[in-house]
Amino acid sequence: MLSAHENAVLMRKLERYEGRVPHMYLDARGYVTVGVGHLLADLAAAQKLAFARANGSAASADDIRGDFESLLTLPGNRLAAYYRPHVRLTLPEQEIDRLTTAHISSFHRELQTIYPGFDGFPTPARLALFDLIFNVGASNLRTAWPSLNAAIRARDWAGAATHSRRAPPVSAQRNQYVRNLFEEAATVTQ
Amino acid sequence: MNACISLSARPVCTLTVIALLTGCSANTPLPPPRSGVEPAVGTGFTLPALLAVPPQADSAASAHDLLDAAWYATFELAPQRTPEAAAPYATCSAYLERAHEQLAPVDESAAAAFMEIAAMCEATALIAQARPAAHSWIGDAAIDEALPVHLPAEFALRVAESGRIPAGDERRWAEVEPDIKGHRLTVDSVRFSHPHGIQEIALVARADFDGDGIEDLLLLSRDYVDAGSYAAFRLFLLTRLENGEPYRTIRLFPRS
Repeated sequence: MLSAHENAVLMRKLERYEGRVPHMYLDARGYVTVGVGHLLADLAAAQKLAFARANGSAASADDIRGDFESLLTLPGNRLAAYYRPHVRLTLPEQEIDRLTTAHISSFHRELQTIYPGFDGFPTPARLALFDLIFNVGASNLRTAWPSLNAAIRARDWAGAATHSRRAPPVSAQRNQYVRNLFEEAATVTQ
Repeated sequence: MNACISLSARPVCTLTVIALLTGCSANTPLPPPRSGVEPAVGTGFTLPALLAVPPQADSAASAHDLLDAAWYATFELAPQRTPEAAAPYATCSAYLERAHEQLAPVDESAAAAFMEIAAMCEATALIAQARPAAHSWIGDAAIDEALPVHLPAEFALRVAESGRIPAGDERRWAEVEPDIKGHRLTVDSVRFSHPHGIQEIALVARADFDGDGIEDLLLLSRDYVDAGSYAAFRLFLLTRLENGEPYRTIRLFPRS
């Protein structure tokens, strides 16, 4: 389980790095997405969410189909605001929070699988790994980070800090945030 | 003047020398001349679609025009070293003037959207100075599933900086990622899948970009991971110096 503090920090950081968008938009690959980077695999996934019309009333399945199919005619990888004129519905704040919490729980299970003993890691190390898995995904984190994963298996948090840097377009600030977390973990466990 | 100069790994002759067909060195004979090797853009050249007013298909908009045209949105960009110096940018010409300061979006969730624009600005600047090639070892070489055999190892998708393939590595992409599988998307783009991500390679343009008279390739790699938000857009300027030999990287964006 994540503590309330960990969950709050994660939500704040994910919103900063991934954005928080109340309407459907297309991500870099052209997939329909909403909220804090929540990918909607298909129309049925979108129709399960509690979208609302501009007047606050609940959107119908046809309303949601309208927004979803409207986006599919547009190019991907634009700023989220580019898509705003092409959709009519929004997702209420509490629904975005619910999705993000579910997303965090899903990645938590992935991290527990990749790193046995994950729940016993120092809090800063856990926050660092959450940031990494949100960004690079479970399969990339598991298979394409041999130096980082070797350091983590050895509970060498200073080593993990050294090998945590991501390639552009990940910003220097985001890389430094994760590095600082691993370095903090190293001091916590000394 | 018969001048042959060595620039990085590649011998370069002045156009005068090429015109006289005197050859650049005994070890690097020029390829046979090919007439009509005009600059051409491919589906990987997406800047027109990133503009506020995309040029009409039948317009004669030059690459110089595109550099001064407004993007579909204004981006607030800040230099990596002096983030307090953020300013709005809306054209490639304004961005390229300050690109050496490693500008990045203030809104970090805009990073991938901006990286595509930045790559296309770099591509457009190269296209603006491109000229028809007098010689080509590229010929009819296809953008197909066999690309990893011919492209440098730097093409490999490496999100972890500690795993990056260094510039100048002599290996081929297929040597460092033997498990990738290609699937052609269009006549000039291919999707490659491997265990930790997906890459889409597309032709941006082919022309003589560096003034040596030999045809070069400009390719875009769109890098994605499975179930993660990471996405990158890398631009490779490549050349081929002998028939059938692997491509060599002349320039890479973003510079490492």
